[in-house]
Amino acid sequence: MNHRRTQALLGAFLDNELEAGGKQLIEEHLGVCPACRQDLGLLRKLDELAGSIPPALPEAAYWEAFPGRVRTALEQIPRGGRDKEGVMFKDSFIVPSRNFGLKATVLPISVAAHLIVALVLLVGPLLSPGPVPQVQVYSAFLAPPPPPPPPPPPRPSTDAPSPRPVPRWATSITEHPRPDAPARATAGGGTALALPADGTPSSLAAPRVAGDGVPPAPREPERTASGLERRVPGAHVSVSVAAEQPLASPMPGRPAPPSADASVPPVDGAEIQRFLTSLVGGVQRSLDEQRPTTGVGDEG
Amino acid sequence: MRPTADANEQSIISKAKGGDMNAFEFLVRKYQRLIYALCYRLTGAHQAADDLAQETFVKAYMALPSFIDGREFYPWARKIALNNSYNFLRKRNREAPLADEETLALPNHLSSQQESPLETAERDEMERKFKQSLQALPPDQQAAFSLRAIENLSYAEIAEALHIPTGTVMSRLNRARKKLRAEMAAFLRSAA
Repeated sequence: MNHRRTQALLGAFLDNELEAGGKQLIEEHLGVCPACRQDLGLLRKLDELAGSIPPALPEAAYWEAFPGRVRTALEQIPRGGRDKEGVMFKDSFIVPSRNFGLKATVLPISVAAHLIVALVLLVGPLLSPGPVPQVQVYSAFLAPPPPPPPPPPPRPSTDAPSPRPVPRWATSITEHPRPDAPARATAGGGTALALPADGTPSSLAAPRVAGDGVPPAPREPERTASGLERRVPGAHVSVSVAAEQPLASPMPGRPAPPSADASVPPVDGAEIQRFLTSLVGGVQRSLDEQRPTTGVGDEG
Repeated sequence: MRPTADANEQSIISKAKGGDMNAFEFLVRKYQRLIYALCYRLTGAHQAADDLAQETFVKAYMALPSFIDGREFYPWARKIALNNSYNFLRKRNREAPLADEETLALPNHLSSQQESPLETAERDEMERKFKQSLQALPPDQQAAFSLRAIENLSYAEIAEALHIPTGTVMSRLNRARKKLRAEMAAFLRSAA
């Protein structure tokens, strides 16, 4: 054992607190190291000095009075203080708080309430039968990325007119482009307004066409097999009305038509006029919306 | 020197636990000197030793219900005295680290008939220097050295009394002895 290690263990060697092996090593070192032998002697003298100095105890009268002073001090302690050991050893005992009882009561109730809520919210849905949700986890290292989602369906073109309600007096409403119309002049086609033979299409307000910005002049209706027909440049909606259907009221500004078969329900001319006006207005708005996108010029 | 527990003392302790003040006063009379001497060695002041000894017995009486039957009373009361003295030393070192000069200058030994006046003066000087050096130690080292060199406790008993590991006891004792040996080297060599 080296000198430094021996110096550290000299006190334990002097106190006989070393094991047999350590003690033998120290003794071997002491046999060859005079400095350690001298230090051991000094330590032994120090212990002897400490033990030889008696404490300066007080006189006998002090010891006669000491138990009485202790008894007096004990009597001054209020009754019940003997059981409060926590107060006596503040460093060693945990003194319970004042409202410890309340906390001891509330804590288990709170824990039980939390457990019930957890059972209802978490465990309950797991126990109920139903499709098990499948969670797909994608990883850039384990699997290729998922395919991109399909493109959304194309939005319906603004050119396609929305289906319009068919009045009870109309047999059909068709929208068709006019093949002979110049594309530059109009974006849509002509419109055939089929009215009953006794109707007066010329009394309808002529639709304004967005082709050249000038509303076309009203034309005389052309008689067709099903009735009167009128073509409006730029329009692309045609309305067919059964020829047998009489008008319940005359068209505004026109004489009343002759009465027809009583079995056929009459058609109100004012209703037809309002419908056609709204229809032509819708066509006009469609054409107005097409103008900036189709590049239709104003010079028509 | 250390009193031993016997059957008579066990019965007295049982009576004291039951609230018999006379029985407890018997225990106070039996151990008051030992407790006082321990407190005095640790504090180095009579007034502090008096207060600590009285406080030790008061606390011992209050804690008697927790005393385990069959064990010795003095080690149990010594642990209370050590805790009191330890707390006192820590508090005093923060406030006034030095003991009173009167206590340090007071010779404690009884002059023997064979000692010459010169030898008596040298011994008084050595005792005064030793007390001074002991009081200059940190409280933990002072308590460990006093319990070992004066109370003759083993390392395990010191560790139990101070609530520290045995290795810590050994290191504290080494540091305390190293400082005391450095302070007392001249006296110790001359005495040798």
